[in-house]
Amino acid sequence: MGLALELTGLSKAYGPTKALQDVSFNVVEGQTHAIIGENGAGKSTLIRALAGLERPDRGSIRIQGRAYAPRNLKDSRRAGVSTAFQDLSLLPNLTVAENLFLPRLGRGLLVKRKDNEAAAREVLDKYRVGHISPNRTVDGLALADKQKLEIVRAISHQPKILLLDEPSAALPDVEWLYSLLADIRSSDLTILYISHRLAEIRDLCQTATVLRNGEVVDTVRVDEADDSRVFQMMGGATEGHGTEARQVRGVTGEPAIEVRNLSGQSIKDVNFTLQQGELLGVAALEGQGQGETFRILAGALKPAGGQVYVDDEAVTLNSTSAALRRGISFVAEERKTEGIFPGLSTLGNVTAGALRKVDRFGFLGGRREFASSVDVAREVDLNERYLRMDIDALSGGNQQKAVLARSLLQGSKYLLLYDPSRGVDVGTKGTIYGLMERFVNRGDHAVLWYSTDLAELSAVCDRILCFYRGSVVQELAGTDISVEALLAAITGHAGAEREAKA
Amino acid sequence: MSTAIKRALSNGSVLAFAILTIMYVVYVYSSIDVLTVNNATDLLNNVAPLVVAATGLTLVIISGGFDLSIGGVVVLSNVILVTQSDTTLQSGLLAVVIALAAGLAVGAINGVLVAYLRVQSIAATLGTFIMCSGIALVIMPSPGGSVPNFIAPGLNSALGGVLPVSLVVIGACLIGWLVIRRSRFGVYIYALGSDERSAVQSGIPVAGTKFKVYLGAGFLYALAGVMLTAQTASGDANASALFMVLVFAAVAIGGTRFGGGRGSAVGSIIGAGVLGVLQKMLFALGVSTFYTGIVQGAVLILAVILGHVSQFAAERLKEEETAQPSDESTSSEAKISSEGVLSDQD
Repeated sequence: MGLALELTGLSKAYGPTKALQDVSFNVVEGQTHAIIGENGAGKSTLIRALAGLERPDRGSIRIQGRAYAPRNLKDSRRAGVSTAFQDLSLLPNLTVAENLFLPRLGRGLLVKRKDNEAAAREVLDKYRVGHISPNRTVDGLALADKQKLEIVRAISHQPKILLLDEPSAALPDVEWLYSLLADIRSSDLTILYISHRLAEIRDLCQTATVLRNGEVVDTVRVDEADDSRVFQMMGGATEGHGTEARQVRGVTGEPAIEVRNLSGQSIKDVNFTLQQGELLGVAALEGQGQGETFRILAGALKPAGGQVYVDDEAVTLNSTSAALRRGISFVAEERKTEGIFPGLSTLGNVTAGALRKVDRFGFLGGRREFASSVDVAREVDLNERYLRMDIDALSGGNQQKAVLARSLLQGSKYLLLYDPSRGVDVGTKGTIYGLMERFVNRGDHAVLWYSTDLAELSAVCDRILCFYRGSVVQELAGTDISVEALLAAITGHAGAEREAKA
Repeated sequence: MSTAIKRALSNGSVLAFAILTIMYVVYVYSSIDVLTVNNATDLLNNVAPLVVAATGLTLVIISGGFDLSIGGVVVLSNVILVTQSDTTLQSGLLAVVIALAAGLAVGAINGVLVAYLRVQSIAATLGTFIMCSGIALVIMPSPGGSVPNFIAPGLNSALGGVLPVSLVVIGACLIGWLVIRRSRFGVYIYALGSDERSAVQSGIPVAGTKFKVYLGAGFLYALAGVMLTAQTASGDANASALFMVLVFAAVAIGGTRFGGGRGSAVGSIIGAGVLGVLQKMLFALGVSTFYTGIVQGAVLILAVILGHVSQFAAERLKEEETAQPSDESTSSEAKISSEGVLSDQD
């Protein structure tokens, strides 16, 4: 058995952010190798480098001993590397058959629609997705089918190395994926498997590399590492934030935001109460309805049914400004697209939502704007000097602080934070925890906090709602909270004994 | 049956065709000699330049770009034809070749700027538009001049007295488009306009495809310039603005979405027809030409609104259809799917 893949000293930086630092590991031919890490650990950058979409700054890759430096996707395909991307690379306005055969689309000068569709039919049947019709456009497919199609497309290129980036994220059950991988497994096929779900990794992979903040923590045999060791390797920084830090805070018990039987496009019968003085966590895999719930509370989406109460009063939040008037402020996950105004100064970004409080006869730029911002900047630990800089020049963590400072300046009582610690460094994470705690300690304030990082949720929160397929399937509190319990709940094993299988 | 209705509703060309038909019927009833060969040829001659330019613009817009260089290329082509030819056939042919080459050159510049140097397409083509207008003014500072007979009235006449040259040109645009639509390149431009990142991840040669789009568009604008010169029979370096606006209008009426990924040159060609017939119809109804612009603008907005409405109706039909057959898994998957739209952007 030779080595299928050798990575040596791979590094990649985006400005000040180091996405990959000196990443080295090997994968033996024919194995399924897991890449484990939190969000922002560098998994996606690694995949993109292997797929030819990013060029590493330093380091080298060898495939079966031969140097491999792809400049685009075509190069990687030629070398036998094929990728199913996490963000799905299907084109919604093209048909299933066209998507499947891009970019070649068959022989000959013209695209032969019927031939392609017949060939697609064969491929779809072969890989157990015969229910997908090759002649419909992809935008009409359910998300799970899109995910399956993305995987089938990667496999249909007959790769030597198959990269699967979160292949099960949108699948309601993994049975299909398991059977498919069992079908194609052979001694020539090496798979890199990226997933959050440890149970899957145990079922499918022999070896695993753990990444943290762009660095390799360790490469281990899966059967020799127990769950707690893996979580420890992944989490690392949150270790110090152990159980002793958790204590029941002075929750007043007054309901701040109450949600009754809320339903929408992706959620049904969501019930919970956020109390004043509480820092309520939300745990979920991507796309389980938490996003819609947050956006409904923020006034950005309309619910299909149910009722929201704010301060014991039934409310209809039909715009973000209506939510703001109720004291609810939402910080979205995509700072680049939803949160910040690129091109404005940091100061402009902080004051953007509260101009009436900082202007002078309708004009900005005065001392008043600066002075009021300095206070909130201090509160979120954002260095004053950044206020004068363009927000684009700031690191992700500082941008996040600026966005939080804006919410504070708006005078909101209730903060909805959607994965604020994603992609920020460990130090800033600490600041964000501190900020949230100070915020809720003001008494009648409260925070609803969604995070993809289970370790930090379990370390910081007293109570956590677990979303799965559009509902709150479990609510964990106090000493019941552990990463394992959360993991079980959000993967749909609420209450069941997971240990038996793991 | 219901699929046919859905297709029709979500297809902008069908809507544009309905508008065209209604207008043409009004036009036929409002004047006595509409259905003569002369009148029909005249109409075709009027719309041919629009059709050619709109076909080029449609390529660019479907690919997710924007092209303001139309006006520049059209006047450049116009002044080249007028200044580089005398009355002989040879000089005229040579001038046409030079004009088309100029169009290709401008298209190539746009292509390099947008595809390889990643300049925003609006900025890049605005730049080339202004430059081309400037060059046209240098070549021909004051309007006037004449063109050889084979251009005007040559391109306005009918081959053998039966087949109008304009019809041949329009037919060529239509057939050319249908071929492109079925080619690999055609699939690429739709892919590109829908989601460039996914296109890259699907292995599509994004830069090369973009370059070809602008190159082809530049050629078609120059050809539109030739057809327009056949109409005016003289040169004018300042005559581009209204024409360019009408080209964009034709594309919009034809149901091609500004933003990319959706639309068809068939729609744009019909859209050009709508604008042409509209002009004739208003004239036949005795409306002063001063009012033409007002009505054209109104028709454009109406067509786009109707397009949205019929698109919406088509999607409603589609939803109803997917809601009906719900075996075990589809309903829950569909639910997650709408959530996925939100989190896809992560």
